[in-house]
Amino acid sequence: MEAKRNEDRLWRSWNEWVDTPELKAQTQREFAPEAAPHSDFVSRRQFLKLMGASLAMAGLSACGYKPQGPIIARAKIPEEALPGESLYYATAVTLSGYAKGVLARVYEGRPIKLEGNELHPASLGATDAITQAEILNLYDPDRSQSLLKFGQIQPWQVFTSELTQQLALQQAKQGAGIHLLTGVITSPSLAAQIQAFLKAYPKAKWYQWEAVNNDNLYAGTRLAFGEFLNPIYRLRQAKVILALDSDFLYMGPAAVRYAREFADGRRVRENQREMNRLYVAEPMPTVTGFTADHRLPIHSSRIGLLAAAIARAINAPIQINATGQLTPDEQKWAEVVARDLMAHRGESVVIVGEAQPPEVHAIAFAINAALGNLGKTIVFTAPPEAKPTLCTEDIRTLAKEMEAGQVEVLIMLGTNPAYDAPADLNFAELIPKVPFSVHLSRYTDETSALCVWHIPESHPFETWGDARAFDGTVTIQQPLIFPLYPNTRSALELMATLNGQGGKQPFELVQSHWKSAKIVPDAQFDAFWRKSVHDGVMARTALPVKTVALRTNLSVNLPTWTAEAQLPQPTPTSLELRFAPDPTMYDGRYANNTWLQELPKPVSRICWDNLAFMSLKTARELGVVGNEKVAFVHDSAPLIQIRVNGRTLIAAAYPIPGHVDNAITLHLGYGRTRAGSSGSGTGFNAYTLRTSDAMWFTSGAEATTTGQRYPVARTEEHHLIEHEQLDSLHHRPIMLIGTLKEFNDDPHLTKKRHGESGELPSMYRGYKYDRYKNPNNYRYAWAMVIDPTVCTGCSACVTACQAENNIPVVGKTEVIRQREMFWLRIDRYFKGSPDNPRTYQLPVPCMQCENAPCELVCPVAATVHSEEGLNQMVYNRCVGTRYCSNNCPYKVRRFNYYRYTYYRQPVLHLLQNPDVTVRGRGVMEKCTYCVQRINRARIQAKKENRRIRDGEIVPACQQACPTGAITFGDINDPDSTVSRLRREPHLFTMLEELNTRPRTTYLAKIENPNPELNMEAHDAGSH
Amino acid sequence: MAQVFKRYHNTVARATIGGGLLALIALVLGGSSITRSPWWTRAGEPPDQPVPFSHKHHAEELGIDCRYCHWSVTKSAHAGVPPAEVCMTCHSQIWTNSPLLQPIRDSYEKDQPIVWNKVNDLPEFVYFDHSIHVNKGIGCNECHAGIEKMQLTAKSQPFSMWWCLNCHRNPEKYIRPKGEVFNMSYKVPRTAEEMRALLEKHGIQWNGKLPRNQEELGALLVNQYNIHKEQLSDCSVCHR
Amino acid sequence: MQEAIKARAIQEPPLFEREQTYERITAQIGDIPFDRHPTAWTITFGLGFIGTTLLIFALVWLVLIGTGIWGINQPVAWGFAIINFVWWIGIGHAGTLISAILLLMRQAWRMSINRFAEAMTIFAVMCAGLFPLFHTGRPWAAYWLFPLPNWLALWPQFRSPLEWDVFAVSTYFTVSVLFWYMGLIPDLAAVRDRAKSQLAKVISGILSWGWRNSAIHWMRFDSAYLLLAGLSTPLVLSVHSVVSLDFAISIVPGWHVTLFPPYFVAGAIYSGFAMVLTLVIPFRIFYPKLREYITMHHIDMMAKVMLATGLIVFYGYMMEAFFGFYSANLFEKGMITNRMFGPYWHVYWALIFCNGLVPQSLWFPKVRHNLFWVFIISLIVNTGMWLERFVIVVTSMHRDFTPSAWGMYGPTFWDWATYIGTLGFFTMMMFLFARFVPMLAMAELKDLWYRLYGHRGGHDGHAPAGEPVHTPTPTSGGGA
Repeated sequence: MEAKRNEDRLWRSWNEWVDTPELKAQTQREFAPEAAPHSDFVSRRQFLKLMGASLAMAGLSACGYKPQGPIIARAKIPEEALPGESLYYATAVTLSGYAKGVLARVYEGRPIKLEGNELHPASLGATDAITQAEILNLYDPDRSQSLLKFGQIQPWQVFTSELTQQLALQQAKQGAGIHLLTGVITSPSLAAQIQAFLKAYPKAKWYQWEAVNNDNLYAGTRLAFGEFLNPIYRLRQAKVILALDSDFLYMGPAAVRYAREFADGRRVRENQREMNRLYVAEPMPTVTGFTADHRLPIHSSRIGLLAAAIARAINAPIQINATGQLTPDEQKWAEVVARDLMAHRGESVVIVGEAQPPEVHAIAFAINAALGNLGKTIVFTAPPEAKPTLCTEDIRTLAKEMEAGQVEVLIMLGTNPAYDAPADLNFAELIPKVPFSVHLSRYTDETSALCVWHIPESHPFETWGDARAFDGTVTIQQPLIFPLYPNTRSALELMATLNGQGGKQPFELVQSHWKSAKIVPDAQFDAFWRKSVHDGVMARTALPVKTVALRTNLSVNLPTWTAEAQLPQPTPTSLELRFAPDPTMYDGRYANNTWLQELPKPVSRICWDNLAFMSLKTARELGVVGNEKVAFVHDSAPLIQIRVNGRTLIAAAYPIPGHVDNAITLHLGYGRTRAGSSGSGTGFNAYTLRTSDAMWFTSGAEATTTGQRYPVARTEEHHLIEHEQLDSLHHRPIMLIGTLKEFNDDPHLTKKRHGESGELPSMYRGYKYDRYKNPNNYRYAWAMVIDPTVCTGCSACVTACQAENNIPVVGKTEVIRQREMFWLRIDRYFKGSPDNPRTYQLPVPCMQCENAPCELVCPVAATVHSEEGLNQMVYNRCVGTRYCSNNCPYKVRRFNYYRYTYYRQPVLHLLQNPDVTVRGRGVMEKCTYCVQRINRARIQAKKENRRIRDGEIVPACQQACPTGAITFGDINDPDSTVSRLRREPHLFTMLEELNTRPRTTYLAKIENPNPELNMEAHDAGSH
Repeated sequence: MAQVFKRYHNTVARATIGGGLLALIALVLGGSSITRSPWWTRAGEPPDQPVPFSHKHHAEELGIDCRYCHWSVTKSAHAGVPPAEVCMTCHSQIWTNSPLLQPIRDSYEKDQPIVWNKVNDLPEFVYFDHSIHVNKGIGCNECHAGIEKMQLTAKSQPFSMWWCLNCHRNPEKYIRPKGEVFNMSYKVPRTAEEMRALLEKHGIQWNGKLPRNQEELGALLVNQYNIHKEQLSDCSVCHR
Repeated sequence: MQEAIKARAIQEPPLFEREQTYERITAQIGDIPFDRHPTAWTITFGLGFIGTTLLIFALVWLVLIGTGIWGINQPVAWGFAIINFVWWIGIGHAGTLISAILLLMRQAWRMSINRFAEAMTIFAVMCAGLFPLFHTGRPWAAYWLFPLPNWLALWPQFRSPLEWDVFAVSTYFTVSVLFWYMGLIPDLAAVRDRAKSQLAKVISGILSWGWRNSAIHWMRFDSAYLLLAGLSTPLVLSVHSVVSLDFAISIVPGWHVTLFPPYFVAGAIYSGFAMVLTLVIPFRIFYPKLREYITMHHIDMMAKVMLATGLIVFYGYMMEAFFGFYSANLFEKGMITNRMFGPYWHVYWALIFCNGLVPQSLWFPKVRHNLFWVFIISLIVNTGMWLERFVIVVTSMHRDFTPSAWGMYGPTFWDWATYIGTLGFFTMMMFLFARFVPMLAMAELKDLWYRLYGHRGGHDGHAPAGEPVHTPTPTSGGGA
């Protein structure tokens, strides 16, 4: 049955490989589909080819002496470079134009890891999963390398000459035929180039398009305040937060910062007994929803009513004309929340998501105004974007003009409208109508294939550039590596070419722009410039806070679609269809990033696919699942056909707990046909149902089962919501859960639930970690404490771990066979009824047990205890009996069933972290607390004859964590942060009675429910 | 009926038994000793190099300090193979047109790297850090023994695991005062005077009794340099 | 005590079907290697051969591609390989038991099946040995499990039960081979003397170490044989106890059971006898000559042993369930509940049926004396024992402590290929054995006949090869 699945997969990827010249061209450039992770017979054939190699490896592992290789001695070495030591450079990763600051670790001229940049407002030293994975985009072997005209490789000269011709023609009519389509642009220097171009061609037009955009927000601010504004939330001050269909902890340019601020208001300690309260109302569970203290599943189309109810309850200065009612439960919910909000005037905030129509945003601003939150928990600036606009309007107009044939020259920078433009515009059919279309992009994607010219885009890490963060702060992006491919150009360079400055280096373009910006007097500019580049943030560029006032006698009509909510609830025959950006693919641009493809989606734990999510009840009504008790142990989901206003899509249906009934949620970004060898042919293309009049949700959808099934890779058995397993969660000492009230009554939750823990006897002589064997010879004992109370399950740590430790990607088939390799996984448990369960997330790395079951059973001593209490895993000693994994109660060990790390493309070798062994086939591997970082720090400290400072060693997971849920340190030092955390009364040890005495321990998960709302899940004794 | 076997077959039979047993023992012992032999470990075989560089000439005869060319040895994991520009500091003045140095000049002018052949090679799963060793009093020629005598550079030690462990399990046998690390002609003091002289030279305190031999000197230094002996044999020190 | 044996022999059904003479015994058994072989032999051997090639193919592929071709995963990191290993080792038990323990217990009926059972043991252990080697991720490095002097300055970890396995199994194999071969020597001498072709003479001559049937030879033979019997008796218990520790040492619910050693040993003997029956019954059909030595009485005795050990095993199952519920340990309880009602419930209940219920029919003499039913039951028991290992390995692993890490296990084509391959290899070896070696211990049979019915052979006074010319016998020696 695997075989069959493989064939499917093989065929699907083959379909794109036949008879398309540019892809043929790619194959000529040795772009074979083996960029795809190990998953099918193709790669098995590789293995056969590899036979020689693997046998050589056999010899190697047996006897260490292979013929010595060469040493390449540089001719000259730059001063700052110390052979074998890495350098860190500050730069930024952008997503839909917005910057997130990072520090890139560059080893011998190749960036290998991204860390957050403390100085950057959107990072605060942390990153999200997508940012972590950006490094893989740089080395993606499927990146386009050469200019293509109708798929034929061409040199630059040909393009430039044709371009100049075209521009000359346009010169006459002041560029009336020229249309620019870009993504949202915040980069000042690029914007300057574009403006210059528009000055030269006054009649030329510039449009921006993002599939996931701020239209509703901007329209909302215009409605409420009369202008486009950019709200910034100050969540540290917020005691009560209400999120309406908003995933503010995970999505959006400031998510990392918001997550941190939110967490800071939530860390419960013996001496810190306050925490904020989060209410979320949303249709499909999100990271934010799963983190909420109270979550209300409600249709997107009815959230307006909810907002209205709250607005009325606190009589916000807004006149709302709405039809349709809330259910009694929803009504009560609204009232309780309203009361709670009013109880926290000036320290509460209401946040609305991008999917909600402008009216709802306006209502929310009114509520915030009424609560006196404006200027406190929510402030406004001008939009950081160079030209704030409503993308949907833009793309619609452009489409019209193309239809009318007014577009003679179409220059597209980076966007992929052929794939993600609204379906009703038929953009893909319009592009070929344009006589001279140019598309700059990193891949020969769906749009490139339709354009006359495809220009390969360089990766931001290869060139100079700049971008603004959510608050306007500018980061200068500096190159981290010499361009991998000579022909690639950045958007900035291309615009410069259009402006006849083709000769200029990107560095000049950027620097000269900022020189002319006159932020500082020219005399100080050099120093200022150096500092800006070095710090990764440019001083005095953050946008000033605007004082805004709500428009007087503000009045909104909730748009007509809510009228449908007057009808009885959406029914199985008239479902609500909701579109949402995919947690890892975003709008589809990361489709070829295998790290993000394989990363289990924070909520659904699915990888390699997007599915049609729905509630268990709906799934049963649609006949997607039967009434069997064990709901979905299978590795496959039934395919359903979704029909809405004449458009149809076949997608795999998947029930997910907590989803609102009679609704389907589709994540954008899948079903791509030209994403690259790994991304093409995964999932289902939601854009085919998405129209410009209903960008985020629509009603009246129908779904019918097709009788076929579709293989689904998921890293957790979903039947955990089944009752028996719920029990086991209740009783298995896996996680300790309590409410703030319980904690305040008696913080010793652990003792209360488990009785006096104390040391259980062990038959083995314990290890000694005496602190001062010799006064100036300090010994360490490493430990980690994880705080699930602030963990949002965003999975940044998982990707960070993967990047740091060379963890291979295994592919869908292997994940289905339960062989994913993540050293750090995030367990997710449900409690309560599947309709709206409580959800608990728990990051699980190796526990580094004192009495480690794994160490005992290894016949070759490949996993042993270290002087500092780590369970060392010696890959080169392991023979692969796998007993250690069997005996590990936490199941954190991973086994190389095949030779997963095998790249046909040498470029991928540049990605590997030289400090960590790349594991071969047949060996066990696991988390080691990033021992390479520990060793580095220890060597440094020993050279300086000092102790390792607390916080000097930061494992990859801790470094990436936006909420600071992970703490690592030395417990021989009583004053270290981790020691202090381990003295907390609610410290909890996973599976304590096994007496494994883990070094990784947890704090209790503390929730802050509102007593006025009944939360059956909050019954006592739950853990 | 005719005898199938002759009398001497008895001898053959006995010989077979004895021989079999002996062969078994020989196999085990032979195998273990062969894997330790230079023939197996390639110690003492100088690989061909683009330029016949002589450590003997530069290090011993001219007395150039190791760190002049391998300057990163004290700071980095890698001792570093000197770039051509380092060679050119002298060879732009002397031997400026010796044909032997042509590759160096080319490299420098064309900015093309020189491709040397590795002499000391460790498997990928071994992580060795030069800096910590030289900073804790392990002399260059503990591992690169006799480097200063080599016309052509060859590996002088097996660099096999047991060899490394010899020192990692009891460093006091090999450690020397930090000041002597780069001294190729360092000898363990034999007399008390020499020992006192050595310790005073490097300002090493010894409480009461003067160390008499390497073991005692080593013990003293291991203690003074805060070397955590037990930990040196942790797997993760070299393997990650 | 000869009287004792005689007496027993008289009340009980006969150990010999008809009047025997030393010549007859030698002729009946010793000539089989020289006779034309039945077509049944050729066919079965052919099947075995095909199986063997399949095995080789599967193993080569495994080494080239990796253990990933099997169905194993996280959490179920041990699958068919370990199941089959334990199963084969178990089968390997009957041989030594019959040779050693029954010998020391003076069970006269062992004489006519021990050679056969020992051969089976050896081949079974060969099959078993393959699995631990090839289930490792890097078989080429598996020699690290042997304490050899090496330039890594590293030794194996002797705390690990897998390390104990290495010694237990290899010792067991060596001793079994010795024991078997030792017993063969006089018979090989007899073959040598009857061989027509020079080649046969030479080979059997070398193998019989110039056995000349002298009194001193017999003395040495007896003492050595007895010594080996003494040696291997503890092994019978030790090997499978150690194998059981592979599981019992761990902390996995369903593995961490103190009952395992005795319960595994009983299971081993159980499956061992089942396998002997599975082989003996067809062989009796293929080689009618054997019928007069392997009588219904033997079948009956083996069936009884099966019944007895089967009951012990069944007791083991009940205890596991009892512990599960009585321990009040959440995980133990979860484990046994999952076994009985979880996704693999059918395997568990199939096991109870095969090993628990079916053998009860052996209480009835009618069944025990019906070759067909005994054969079927022996097959069922073999299956049952395999299922038992499946239940132990898989259902314990796939849902242990951490619910988030739970998973399912299913074998792939390659799992089956390897398993069936070993079955083929085993069959092939058994039939080669039947083809070239006297299947029953002639010398011992003669000796038994002599002790039961007195000296009636060798009229012309000169004793045929292998005739015991003095009374000390393995059994009487055992008493001495």
